[in-house]
Amino acid sequence: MRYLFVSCYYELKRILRNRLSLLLLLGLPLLLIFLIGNGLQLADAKVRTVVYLADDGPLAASVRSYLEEQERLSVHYADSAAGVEQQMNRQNADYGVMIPAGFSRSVLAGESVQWTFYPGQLSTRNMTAEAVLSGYLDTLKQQLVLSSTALSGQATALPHNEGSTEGVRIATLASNASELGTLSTLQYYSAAYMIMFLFYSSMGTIFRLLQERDQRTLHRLAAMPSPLGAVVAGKALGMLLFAAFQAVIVVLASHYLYGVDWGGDSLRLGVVIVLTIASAVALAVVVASLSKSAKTAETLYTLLVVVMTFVSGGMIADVGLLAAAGPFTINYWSSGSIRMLMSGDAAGAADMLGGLACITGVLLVLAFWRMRKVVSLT
Amino acid sequence: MNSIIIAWMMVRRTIGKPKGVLLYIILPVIVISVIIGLFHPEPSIKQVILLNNDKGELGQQLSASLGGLEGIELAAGADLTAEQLRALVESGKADAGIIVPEDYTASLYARQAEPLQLLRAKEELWNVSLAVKLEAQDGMLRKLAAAAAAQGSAERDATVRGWLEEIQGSGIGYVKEQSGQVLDVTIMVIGMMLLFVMLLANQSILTVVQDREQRTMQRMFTAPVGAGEIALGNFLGSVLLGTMQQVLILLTTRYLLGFDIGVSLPRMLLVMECFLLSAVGIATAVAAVVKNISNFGYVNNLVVSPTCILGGCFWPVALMPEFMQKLSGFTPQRWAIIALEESIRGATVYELALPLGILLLFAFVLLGFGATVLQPAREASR
Repeated sequence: MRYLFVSCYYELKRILRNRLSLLLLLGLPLLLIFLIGNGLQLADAKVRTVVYLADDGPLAASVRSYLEEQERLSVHYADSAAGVEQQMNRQNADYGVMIPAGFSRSVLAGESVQWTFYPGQLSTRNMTAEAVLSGYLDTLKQQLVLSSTALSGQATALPHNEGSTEGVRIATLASNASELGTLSTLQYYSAAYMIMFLFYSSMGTIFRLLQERDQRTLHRLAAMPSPLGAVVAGKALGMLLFAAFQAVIVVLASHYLYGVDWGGDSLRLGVVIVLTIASAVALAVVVASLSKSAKTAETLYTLLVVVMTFVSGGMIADVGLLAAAGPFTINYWSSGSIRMLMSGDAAGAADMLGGLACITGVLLVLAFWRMRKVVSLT
Repeated sequence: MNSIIIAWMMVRRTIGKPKGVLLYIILPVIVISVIIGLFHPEPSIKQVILLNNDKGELGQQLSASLGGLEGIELAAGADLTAEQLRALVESGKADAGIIVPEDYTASLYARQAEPLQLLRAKEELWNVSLAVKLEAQDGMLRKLAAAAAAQGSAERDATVRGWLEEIQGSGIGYVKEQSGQVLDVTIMVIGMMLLFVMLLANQSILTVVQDREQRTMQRMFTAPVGAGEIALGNFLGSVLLGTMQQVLILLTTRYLLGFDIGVSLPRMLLVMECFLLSAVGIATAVAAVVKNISNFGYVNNLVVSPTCILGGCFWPVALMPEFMQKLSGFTPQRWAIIALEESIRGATVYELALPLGILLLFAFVLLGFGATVLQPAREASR
């Protein structure tokens, strides 16, 4: 037992001594979570619309008030058509519109007149802006028609937003209403990236065993009066402790610095983390047993982790056809259960956890069987 | 001449073995092909099924007014029931469904609320826009119908139809300026190419650092070659590697996958070479600060992935919040993407002076900072 702890102590010391890899394993996940979580705020993004209103006739005021009432657009004004184009080219705005001088005059005189739209880079935002802006024109035309027939009796009725008419009832059918369910982007990617980095911190010691075998230092360890099994187990324990430490740091730091809500169930969260680390180590052992050198193993494993993260939706939430391959990755089950925990779905989390536990079990059996190959001295 | 030999040696060391070819040539091609396969063609056309149960005429008018929406294909679901339509949307066979209720026309004339139904699998931006459009059309019909309601049942349909025609025929409208929208998948492909160029630049600088650490560089200096020739040779090697990678990626995507980025090959190479210079600059600057050569890979991870995210390699910067868009101006990736976007929109070489100049400035400053890497006697502290 003492051997185990001594070996564990030195392994931890070795890991902690390398400041740079510490920075990489603790700092990089937090940095990436910050960048991606904030960079991909898909929800509630307003369409930044730049407007050049050249018209100073009676309709100008109604255009302004219509635009101000729109909650889907954030409107700012340019002072020339060139200004609109410039803002669009610099991508300071998502959508541009130019309302020509004499717009009011032409409309009231019954002449034809046209606004100019400048669609931007993002097609979905273009659709929104176009729908909202053409809405003004449609309402205007409708009121012109009605007022010309003198049925409504008021020729000066100008377009404006009316309260919700309840004209359209929208039914959203899927249980996970948006791409990310009820979670924020920050939560979604926090889960995905913590899992990914757990994989990275759970590989080093295993692959270093290969290196030690090739350098013959493993033979020296075996020559000591301590049982080799205890020494190896101690090293693995050190790595496990570090991985757990990493998870705690990422969870706490993201919670207190970025305000990520990990769900209230810290016990289950802990279980997910432990199971993920266990399966990551087991996977590392299997990969190591199939590789000739530490370097090959590391490359193979890193590639595997990136592919698994991508396929399980950890980099882009919607991976199209590849989503069918998701359940064959560990990340799918572990980040899935964390997401369920975050959204407070205990039953769903239990299902996902069950899946994760099964995978971990299978991998651990494989790992125990292949471990002999990794530390074989011949 | 000596420089060319050094450059050639560097190429052989980096991609001379199967593993090098796999990592720096084949992997990039595969990744980019997968991206094109996954996300192209886009934007995808959304299938919307409209179920018109209306006994009157206005339902027909409504569906007519919804035709011709950009990115949406409207189909009539004449023989479907509401339940079947719901099932279709739920299973994803249709992207959205619209149900016009049986008494739609009658309720409009009676000024009663008989709402339309919009069924969607999940809330997405495009169907939010569809809802906006639907609400607007419904609101218009509602007003017209209310105004015509006073007339007899035979005339009011004709009146509303007349008004609608008048509205359609009125000269008030809008034109769309074609701004040369760059597809998301193109940006992703460009971003991935930038990422792989950076990785390759790192690898080639790593060989230089290894030369220095293993004293190979000192031996090179004892040979009758000038320091300038050595520097030039190492530099040419990086450029050669980057160019080979780029050309292969471009040829594969264009001729095997039939995917056209929209930039001519020489233009692409021009921008990429400028970017390569700044990538080499970053790598040498990193190599100059790293204390332990085995940490070089780690530090590069710390530099490459965040700057690629910030620079807009993986999704358009327009999606990012304001402060991140400003920060992205400090990454060379951003300026390479700007240069290529402008090229896709048809800019001439002269119009690219600003982004390319900034890229070269990045390279100049960073290379100056990192030039110490090439000092043979300098040694990383261990």
